[in-house]
Amino acid sequence: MIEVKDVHKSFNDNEVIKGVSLSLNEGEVVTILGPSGSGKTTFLRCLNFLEIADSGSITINDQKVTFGEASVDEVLQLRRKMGMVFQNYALFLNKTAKQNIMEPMILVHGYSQQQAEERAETLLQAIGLPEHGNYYPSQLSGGQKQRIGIARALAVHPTVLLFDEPTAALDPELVGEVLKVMKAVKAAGVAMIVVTHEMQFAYEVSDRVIFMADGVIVEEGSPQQIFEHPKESRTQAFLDRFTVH
Amino acid sequence: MNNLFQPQLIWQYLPDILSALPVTLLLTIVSTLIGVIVGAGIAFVRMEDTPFFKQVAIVFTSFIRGTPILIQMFLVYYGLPFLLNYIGVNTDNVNPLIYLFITYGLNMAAFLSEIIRAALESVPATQREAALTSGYTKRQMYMKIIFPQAMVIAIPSFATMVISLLQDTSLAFTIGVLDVVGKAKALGTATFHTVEAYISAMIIFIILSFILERVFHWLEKRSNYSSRQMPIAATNPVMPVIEHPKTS
Repeated sequence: MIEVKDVHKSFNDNEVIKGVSLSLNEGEVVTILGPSGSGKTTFLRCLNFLEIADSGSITINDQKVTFGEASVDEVLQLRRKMGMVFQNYALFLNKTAKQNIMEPMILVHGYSQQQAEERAETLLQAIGLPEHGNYYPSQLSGGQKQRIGIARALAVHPTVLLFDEPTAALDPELVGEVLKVMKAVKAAGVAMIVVTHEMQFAYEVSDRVIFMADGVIVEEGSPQQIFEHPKESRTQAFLDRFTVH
Repeated sequence: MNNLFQPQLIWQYLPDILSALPVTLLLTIVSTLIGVIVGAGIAFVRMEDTPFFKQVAIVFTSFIRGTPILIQMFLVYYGLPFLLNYIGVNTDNVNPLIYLFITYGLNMAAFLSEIIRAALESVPATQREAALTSGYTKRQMYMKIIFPQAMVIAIPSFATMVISLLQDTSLAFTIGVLDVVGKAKALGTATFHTVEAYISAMIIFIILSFILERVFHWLEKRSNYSSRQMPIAATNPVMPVIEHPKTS
């Protein structure tokens, strides 16, 4: 359903992604692990053209887009099939929580005001913030903001959700509430690509774990394979620093 | 005893000097409009890194900011007709106000462009990315997310610029336009009561500036979403269940 082929990306002379491919089935959750600077966030940002990859291609459903050759319109169509959740939430600060969820639905996807409002209310309920629709982001905690961020990305029925270290900016006690929502998103059958350092989440929730280092995929497999029987020494060395059993 | 200071003249002169108020206001309003439109264009060109135009914008801005407005006015007033005549355009019937609109408008544009640019850039970049990844077009991103936030940030500096433009328009009399100051100068020269006439003009400027200040203050309060207060409610510890019906 989603097929990413041979992505290359350089910043000046520094090649940070050296031919990464990835395919994802409907509703599948893939977690990308790796040390800082391994290129995992850059890879994620290449998928929706926040960074322009030098070469490679991405196919979602029936649309194939080649990096470096895509037109503005193709990029727009592609982005509308994906949602993104950011490390620092990136909520629109001039909009309330509910408006944050509703605006992309109405503006980009042509929902009516009423449809959007109903779905926003359902989602607010689902993420445990039914009373918070009229709050501005500055009045919400980090965990609340991130849950709104997930609801905003999810509201438009994307084919896949991209998560860029969604819990990295949160106080430890708030991480749980966000991970709960992410589990619910998986339960709803939405495909996810998650860049994270939450090993517990990767182990429990993902269908597949990818370990990236120096711009390449070092190892890939089920959470059990990767966490319990890593084959590559670099994966072992990385996981040794976390005590996950 | 004709040239003694006579306070009652200040009030007597007021109506006469007020008759020139429309010129001062027109200068301020038109120049601000030109300034906002051209200034936003310059800011936009600089932010989006448009080749060539960006360089032009940088040179223009630094020229305007680096020279006194009086010199710019003389350059436009004496230089522009010369240039136009040279290419065969007749400038004999051009209202001198037009030259003032150009001068003050471009001057405002240069200063406002920096204010606008700073305000646009102060909107966190992640919100641009959030808008783009949500499928917004660039236009939608600017109209719905960036501009509304940048405006709130820009209002205080914008207000300062408009009020200082209002004062700067007082230089218009140097090319013979009868604005508030021009009128006061003319009255003073005719009656030898120069001080009274200028005090009269001063009162008009103080009141105008005060009104402008209040208007911008009100605007700032009205548009500032972050100052709207609401108590932070407690989170309901609900286990989320998300229904996600397929659309296609």
